[in-house]
Amino acid sequence: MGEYVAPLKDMRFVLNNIVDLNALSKLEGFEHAESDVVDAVLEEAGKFATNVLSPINKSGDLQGSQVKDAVVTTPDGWVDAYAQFVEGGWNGISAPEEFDGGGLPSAVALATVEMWNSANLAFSLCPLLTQGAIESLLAHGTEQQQQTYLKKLVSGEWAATMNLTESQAGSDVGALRSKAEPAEDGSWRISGQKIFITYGDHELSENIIHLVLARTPGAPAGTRGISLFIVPKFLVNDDGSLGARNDLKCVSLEEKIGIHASPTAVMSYGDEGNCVGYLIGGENKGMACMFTMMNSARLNVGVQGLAIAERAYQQAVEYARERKQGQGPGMPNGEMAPIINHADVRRMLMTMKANIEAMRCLIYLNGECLDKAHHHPDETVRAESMGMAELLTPMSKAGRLILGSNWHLLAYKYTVAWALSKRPVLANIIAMLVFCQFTREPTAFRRWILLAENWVLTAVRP
Amino acid sequence: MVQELAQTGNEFTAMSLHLGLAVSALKEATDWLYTNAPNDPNAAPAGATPYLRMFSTIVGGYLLAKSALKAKNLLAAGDSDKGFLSAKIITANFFVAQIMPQATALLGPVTEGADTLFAITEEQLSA
Repeated sequence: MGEYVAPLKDMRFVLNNIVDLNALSKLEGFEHAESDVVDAVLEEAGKFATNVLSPINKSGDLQGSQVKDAVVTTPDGWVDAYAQFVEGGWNGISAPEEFDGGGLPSAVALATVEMWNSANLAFSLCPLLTQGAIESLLAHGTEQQQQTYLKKLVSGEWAATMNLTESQAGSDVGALRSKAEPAEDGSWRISGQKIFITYGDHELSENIIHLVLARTPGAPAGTRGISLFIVPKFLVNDDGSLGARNDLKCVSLEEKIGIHASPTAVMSYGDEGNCVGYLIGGENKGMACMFTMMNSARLNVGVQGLAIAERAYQQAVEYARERKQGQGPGMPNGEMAPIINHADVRRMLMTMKANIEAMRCLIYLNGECLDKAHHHPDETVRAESMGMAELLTPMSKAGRLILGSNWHLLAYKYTVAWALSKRPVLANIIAMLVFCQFTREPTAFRRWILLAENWVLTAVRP
Repeated sequence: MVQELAQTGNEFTAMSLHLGLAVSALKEATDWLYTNAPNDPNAAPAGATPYLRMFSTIVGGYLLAKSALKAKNLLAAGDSDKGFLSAKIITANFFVAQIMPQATALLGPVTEGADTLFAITEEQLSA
């Protein structure tokens, strides 16, 4: 099976005809988003995905990340790939230029994120988590916190993690027990154990900035008493250099189907009572801070579904054209036809293709709405765009519901091709479905009822 | 959009028809939820998943139809990438004729409410 090839034509078509890239490039902060610049960016991104990320996907999954004495080692090729990722400026392409980011709209960034996920889902999870921290800092960090952490997170020189879940606190985040005690100098001492921390430890970057939800003394019970803390793996000196190793560690790694290469850690904070954390966003405002980045996190999960479906589709088409089984109508006896000539296989391929193209339109459009919501000079347009983004987000995330039928072709393909050791890619597909499974959003539903009328009226407007 | 498709001609007549039916059904489903949700606390949660699927699929159909119109205009303006652009139109036709009608049909499930979901007892579910 070939390496991933980015569907640049379709991405460009969507960006130029469904998204209005031209109009976006006229908004403040997006001056680089002109068509020809974006074309070049996408071209380079495609090369990186095909030549660097895709070739280590299967090997990475088979090898997996390992932990020994609280130190994590990622699979062969990971360190080098990440270094090239940082060097290429890919980590921060949509971050503000003020912090050395590329200043491109999220509509464009989504196309590159789609490519990373298609080529190598496990690898993509690292920049995905760093992105969450960047957004939290941009929205809620003090100027000093932004100066200390943002540039290196934007470049990717430092990576980040999001620490919410504990063994007794999953969907019910409010049940978390991690604690934060105030220290004399205004910082805090964090203690507790967090689970399912993606890229909790690794050797890809010289520092890892953990964002940790914890409860301060006297805080109210439930989600209203949660605060967010910046907890660096290495403390940062005033001059920006790395200081002491903080009191936190990776206890163990999970085996996550489809993404063995991604180190999913159990993290222990403050075993020695000396884990330094810095409050971000105000006491008891932790959930609000987390939710700032929830919209883009949800959109990113939708992109994952799209990306995996696209990868699976490419392989399915390649396979269907080569694999010969059964005699086609009108063929001489004994000759077999490629299965792509079978009507039902055509149906499966068309279903995948149509669903993928529909989701690509929807997801990039969703990104454009967020871009306009944050950058358009007109306040009414900003509000409307935000409303539309909120309407589209659950749909982007629910890609599984539309893409669910892709499973049929994959099951068919892999039943026959099992012997060819496709396990990692099959597992990737399962991972996609599992990811998407977790992303239902009944609570957004209420807002829809108010926005749906507007949308439907817009849709029928001639 | 529906009218624009109808006016564009042969390839788009069926697309216009399917999209019109879909949007109509979506509006009806939305109206139903708008009316019933405030009075019945189970109405929205019961219909949420089929409604989400309905909405996403119909938005998808709308966006593909829009893509097809753009592709047609680009072809008419002399764009030489006939293979890619004609595929856009063919794919859009497939989606609105084969995939989207399933979403249109979800009007029924969305507006049925929660009765069947809760008519069965926990004991019956466990048996």
